[in-house]
This record gives sequence, C-alpha cells and structure tokens, in this order.
Amino acid sequence: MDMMNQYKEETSQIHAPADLIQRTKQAVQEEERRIQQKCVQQTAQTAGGRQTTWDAGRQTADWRTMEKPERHDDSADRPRRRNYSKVYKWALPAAAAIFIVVLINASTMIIGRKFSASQSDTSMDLAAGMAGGAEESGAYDLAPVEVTEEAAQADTDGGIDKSFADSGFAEDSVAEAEESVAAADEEALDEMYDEGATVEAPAAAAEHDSVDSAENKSNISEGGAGELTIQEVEEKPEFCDNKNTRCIDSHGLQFYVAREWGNQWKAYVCIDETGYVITGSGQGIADREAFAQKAYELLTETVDGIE
Amino acid sequence: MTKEERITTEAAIDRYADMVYRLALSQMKNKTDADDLFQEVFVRLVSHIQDLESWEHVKAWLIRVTINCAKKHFDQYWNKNVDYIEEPERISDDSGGYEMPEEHPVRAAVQKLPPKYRLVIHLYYFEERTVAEIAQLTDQKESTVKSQMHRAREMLKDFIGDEW
Repeated sequence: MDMMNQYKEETSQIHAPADLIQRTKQAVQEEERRIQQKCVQQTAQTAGGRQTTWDAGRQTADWRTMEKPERHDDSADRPRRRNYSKVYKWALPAAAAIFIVVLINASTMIIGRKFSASQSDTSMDLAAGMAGGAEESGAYDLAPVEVTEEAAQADTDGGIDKSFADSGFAEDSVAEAEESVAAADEEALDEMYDEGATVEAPAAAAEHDSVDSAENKSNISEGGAGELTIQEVEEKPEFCDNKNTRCIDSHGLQFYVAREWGNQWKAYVCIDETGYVITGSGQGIADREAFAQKAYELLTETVDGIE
Repeated sequence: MTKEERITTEAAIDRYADMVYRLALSQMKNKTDADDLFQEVFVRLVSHIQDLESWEHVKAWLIRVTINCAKKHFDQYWNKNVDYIEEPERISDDSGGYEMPEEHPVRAAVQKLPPKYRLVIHLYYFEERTVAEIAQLTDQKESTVKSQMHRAREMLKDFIGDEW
C-alpha cells in the first residue's frame, strides 16, 4: 500500500504542459472548422440546401442529424431479380427433363435401327434368294459376313465366300447388302444364284405356296418345252411384285419373270384376261429373256389363239 | 462539476488533460510520442463529443481511445522495430522543471514494465478503477487483467523489492 500511495503521489505530480494544451486546443478548433465546412458542403449538395447552424461552444448535432444521402431505390429491381430466380428455379429441371427425353429418343432410335437392320437381314436373304445348305450351315439366321464364316467351316462349297467376295457383301452391313442387291444388275444376281448358295426362304416358299394355292391352281400342262409347266391362274401372283421379278416383253406379251432358288424359274403372263403361270427349271435357261422365250413357246403350244 | 456545464471539447481538455497526459506517458516510450498521443485523442474527441452524454462517459471514452491509439502506435512496423536512444525521461511539473527518475523511483520502476502491465497498474492504482472496469476498458477478460496485475507486481518486486 505504501508503494501504491507513493505511485499515486508521484504520478499526481505530472501535469500536461501548458504549451501542449494550447497546441491541442488550436488543433481542436481547426478540426471543428474543418467539420463545419464539410457540413456546409454536404448541405449545399443535398436538395433544398438545408441550413446548418454551428454552435461555437458546442458542436450541435445538426451535421449529425443531417439527412443521409438518399439511397438508390432499387425496389424496382427486386421484382426483376425475383423473376430471374424463378426462371433459374425451373430452368434446371426443365433442361434435365429435355436431356433425358433426348437420351431416350436416341436410344430408341438406335434400338429401332438395329431391329430394322435385323429385319432387313432376313428380307435381304429372301430377296436375294440365296441357295445353299442353309440347314447345314445355318446361314439363314446369320448376317452375310457370318454366313461367309459359317459356310467356310461347314461342309458346303466355298461358293458363298466367293459370291460375297465378288459382290462385295463380305464387309457390308445387312442394309448395305440389301441395297447392293437391289442395285445389282441381273448378271450379278445370276452369278450369285449359280454359285449354288442355298438359303431356306420361307417367304419365297410362301410365294410358291401362294402360287400353288387352290384358288389359282389350274395346271394346264407339265413338262412342256422341256421342264416347263403352265398353270392358269385367276389372280396375279404375288411374286410379280418381288424385287427380282422383271417384266420381259416377248412377242408382244408381257412376262413377269422371276428366278427362285436353285435353277427354278417362274413367269406370269396375262392373255385375254386370263393369267398363266409358267414354272420351269433347267440348265439351259440362262436368263429371264430365255425363260420368257420358252414360256412363250409353251404358251403357243398349249393355249389357243397365241401364235 | 456541474451538470449545467456543457460538454465541449475544450472543456474536456481543461478537465481531463492531466489524466490523458499521464496515461499517454505510461503507454509511450518517450515524451514526444506521449504529446502526439495526447493531441490525437482530443482531436478525435471533436467528432464524437456530441455522442457523449455525461462527463463520466467522456472520461471513459478518453481512457479507451488513449489505450487504442497507443496500441495502434505500437502496431506500426517502425515503432515495433525502432528503439529510441535518448536521455532519461524528463517530465515537467508545475514549476516547469524536469523530473529525474531518482525523484520518482516507483514510477520509474513502473515505467520499466511492459506497456500492458503498466496500463493495468496505472488504471488500478492511480485511476482507482476496478478489475471489471479495467477489463472493459482494455477489452480483455477479468482473469486476464488479474493475471497481468499479478505478473506486474512480481516484476515490480524484482525492481523495487518486496515493499511493493
């Protein structure tokens, strides 16, 4: 406690110098003037020019209570901002939904293409009428490339390989094979048939059955003109609309000539509103024109009024 | 002190000049810095005087601002890394003369303490503030103030002896 009292006594002897106090008061007055000038400038800038008073004895609160600069009213911006946030809220889910729909469509397209490709595979085989040991090689159910591989291994001749190599089907897809078949000329088709490719063709068989159906069947002759048979039909058979069916004009008659598996030929002609289907086979028939000629010869032999 | 006396900056200077000066001396390393601190505190008061409602409020404000300004002064790089080589501190008294350290041994010993210890000693023993008030003024916990005071006393014992 003595020390504490001594400290107090010693400290109490310390006073602020008079010159320091004087200098400080001058600095304070300068500061007050500066603030006053600042207030005047601010009031002059504000609208209305509010008059401020300055109390020398006491700094009034005028500049303290002075109105602050008006804040920019951004209330008009708030609804816009709210709308933007609303837009963003549903934009993302909508974008996600659109993306999902696009994905689904793309996947269905891909699946559909594959499905149609597989269908065209079978139809291509039917249209081409490939001959061969389909049951042995199992090529009926395979794509052309696979047929090639299977046929090479199976106990069949290598004609399939050659045929594919010649026609360029080895590397082509099923759709391309179908197009190439459609675009190929008759000679290329004949070469394929000559190679002996055998593929069971249920559709062709169905057509054959349709030709042989009871409605249309009316055998006129068999074995005429070599191995040709002629049948009278009431309706135009379906094979006339096949892709490999060609319309051959022979002796003024229009023959719809189609080649089936093996060396089987078939032709349809309408004479005096009567339809005739001529079927035949033989190595001597080179092309459709030849078969049309033979069919015509058969007609002249069997049907009256045709010369 | 009358309630009718208007609270102005000049009146505050007249009333609390010695208090601020003593506190500034206790915080600064030399008299020149103490003078600068003194002047800065009252210049700052000009822009805040209208917020102070009573003289006690003014006093507390002056102490707090003096401490903060001193702390800000010490936080500057120059003051952290530069030490003054000068003669022993000379303090004017009423007669205009200068005080020598041997004339005020206790105060000289207190001046040897670190600034934060000096502050708590000065506020506690000279300003007669409580630990709670000191904690509030220095923005510290009461436990911190107590520990600082304890350490300051220990150091003063080493300087002066067990008489403290």
